[in-house]
Amino acid sequence: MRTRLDKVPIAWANLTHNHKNLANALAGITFAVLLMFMQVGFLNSLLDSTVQFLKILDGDLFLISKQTASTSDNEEPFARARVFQARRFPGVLQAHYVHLDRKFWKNTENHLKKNIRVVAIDPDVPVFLDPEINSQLEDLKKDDVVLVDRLSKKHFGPITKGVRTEIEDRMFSVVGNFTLGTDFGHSGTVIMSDKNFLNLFKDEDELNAERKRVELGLIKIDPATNLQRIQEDMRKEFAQDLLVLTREEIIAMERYYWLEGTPVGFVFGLGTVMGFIVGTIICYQVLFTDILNRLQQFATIKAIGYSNRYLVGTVVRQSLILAVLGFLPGLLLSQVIYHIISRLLHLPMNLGEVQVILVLGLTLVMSAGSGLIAARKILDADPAELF
Amino acid sequence: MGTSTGTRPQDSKSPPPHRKMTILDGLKKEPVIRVQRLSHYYGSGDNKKQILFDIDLDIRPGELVIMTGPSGSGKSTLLSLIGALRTVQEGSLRVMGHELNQMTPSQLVQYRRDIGFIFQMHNLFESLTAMENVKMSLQLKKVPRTEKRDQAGHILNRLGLEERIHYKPESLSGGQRQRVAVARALATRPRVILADEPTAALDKESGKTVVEMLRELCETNDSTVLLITHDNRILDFADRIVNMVDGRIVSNVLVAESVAICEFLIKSNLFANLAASTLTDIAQKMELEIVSAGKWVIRQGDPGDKFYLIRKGITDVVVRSGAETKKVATLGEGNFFGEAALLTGEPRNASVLAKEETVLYSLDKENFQMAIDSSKTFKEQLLNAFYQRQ
Repeated sequence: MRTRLDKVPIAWANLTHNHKNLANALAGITFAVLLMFMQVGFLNSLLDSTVQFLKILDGDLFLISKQTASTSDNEEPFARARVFQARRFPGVLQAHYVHLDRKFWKNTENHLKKNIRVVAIDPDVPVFLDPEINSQLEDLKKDDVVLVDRLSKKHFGPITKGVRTEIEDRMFSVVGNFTLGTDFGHSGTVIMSDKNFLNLFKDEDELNAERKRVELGLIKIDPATNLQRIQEDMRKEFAQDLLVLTREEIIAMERYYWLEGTPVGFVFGLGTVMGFIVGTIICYQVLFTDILNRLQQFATIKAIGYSNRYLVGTVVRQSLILAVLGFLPGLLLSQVIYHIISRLLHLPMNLGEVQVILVLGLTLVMSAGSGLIAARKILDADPAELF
Repeated sequence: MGTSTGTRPQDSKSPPPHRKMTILDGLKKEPVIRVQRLSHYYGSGDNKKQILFDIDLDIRPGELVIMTGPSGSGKSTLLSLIGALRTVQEGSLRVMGHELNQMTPSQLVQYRRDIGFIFQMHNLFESLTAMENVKMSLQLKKVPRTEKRDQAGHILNRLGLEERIHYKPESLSGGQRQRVAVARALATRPRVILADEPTAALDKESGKTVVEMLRELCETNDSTVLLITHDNRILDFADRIVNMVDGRIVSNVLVAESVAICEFLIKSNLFANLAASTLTDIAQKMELEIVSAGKWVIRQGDPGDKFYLIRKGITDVVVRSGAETKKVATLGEGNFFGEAALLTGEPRNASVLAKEETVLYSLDKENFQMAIDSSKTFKEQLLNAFYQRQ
């Protein structure tokens, strides 16, 4: 029986004939794969990092102002009374509020003040899913104390338990740490009680205003009740000023905001496209040069009865082999770099199946596309010129 | 009697070699390549230049044809047209039963698979071994795997490359590369082989091996070989030599037959003293005719229009006198007849009947006259020979 294996492996032979050229080609493809993985990774990291705060909050439904497009970038306040109103809906077990704000943290070493995210809560109510935070809520009840995210950037200076520093010119003590991580909007996070938070406002009018408003409402629903129905009811009730979102919806909204509502998503998307283009150009150059060097040889086998389709297929096979061979080291290198970035920047750099499949797909399309473009040159191979 | 014999009918001392008879037999077959009024141009508009002018050429199965001519004479263009590497513009080109200008591009691709191409530049795939390069052509023929390997190995061995079958072209000498290219072209035993200077890069021994292989394919496979060469060492292998100048065929000599005709002519008293060049000229102008058994070649009383030489077969010379018809002679290979009517201008004085299928070469009246005029001696000898028979 005749199988494809019987055939002369011309694509592989062409590709591996010159080891130096092959190494250069693979380095080029690997670089392009790495570039795409970095861009996809950063984009993914951006999106993951912006929702990691939401993920540690314990709520089935989330209340936010209609003006809020992102809970991590432009959180807008709404009336705290709305949270109390929510408690009255049948099936609601708990409804609590969270203040979100940015305040200046003073680095105790260089005395520079840097913006830090402040999350203020009622410490009597466990609104977090993170057991480490919940175990320290009791400490938060003291005056002028905070928990600090241990993954906050180094420019905040010492942040460990016992450190005393100023937040918005008021002295605070660090009574504990938790693990959250930075995102593209925040270099660090502190958690404090709502009482301590309100103490930061010196202006009476401002304080009074702040007392009556919050940025986030968290609602726990009785598992036996219909979440969707309660959500619908609340939406009707709060239609004027609030969005009532499930956990999935608020996370999706946050990702959408960064992906579509800011240039950041576009920039990383563009970076991915650039990686794709760079890879296409490298792959094209490699294949085009190879075809050019072998034009007479291609013309010869065209003369003896091979069709243009076979010749184009050979080049496309070459490009796909290049893609696979270049993808693997690119994948490995990316994992190493993801790990390094994650450690250095405390960003959630995760290489998921989706990213791997996406970049592999892009690499195959990139290579096959450049193979097809380069293969047009084969059509110029004129066997008539051989005699 | 209106006939004369150059040699005794059953006395031919030169038994026709197998090769010659193959060609002779091949001449009866339909041409495998038939070129009719073929013209070709390069460029267009003001830059249009005619390269081939009304080419007519028939090449039959089993023939090894050598094309010669100066550079730019159109040899390569003609070869590339026959190989369907260029499109026929004017005239007809029929190869292996296919009218090339009526074929679709995909049919032309298929057609080329039945042709063995040998290019001056070997153009082997640098990335493939000698064996794989040969397999590339076998692959097109859907040859089973083991057979493919055996055939490729066999032909490479024949060409003295058994130690080099797994070498890539970069590790082979120029001659070895050319032999691999020859192996690639011949591995499938194609019906038509088109070769451009196949022996140019080869030493004497390798060149001889290659041409012997081509010759062998002609004889055993009825393959037709059309090759361009300037290598005088291989001219002896040609059945036909076609010379082209400025896009025209200026001579088309069936070498073996031409030699055979000259040998017959020179053995006769009549032509014995003619220079070789005159004999060759006469031989070239003679046309092949095949007459079936029982058919009349000439009839008594008809006007004389041709001179005949019997190449193969037996004929009876019959004279009618009143009501009586009498066989006066039997003519065979190497005998000639028909010159009397041409010399005297009188009607035929006898009839000639083919006893079996007979192959003849004829020279028309005009060329016969020119041959006579070109050599006074020839004319005198001819007249002497004629009058001696009166």
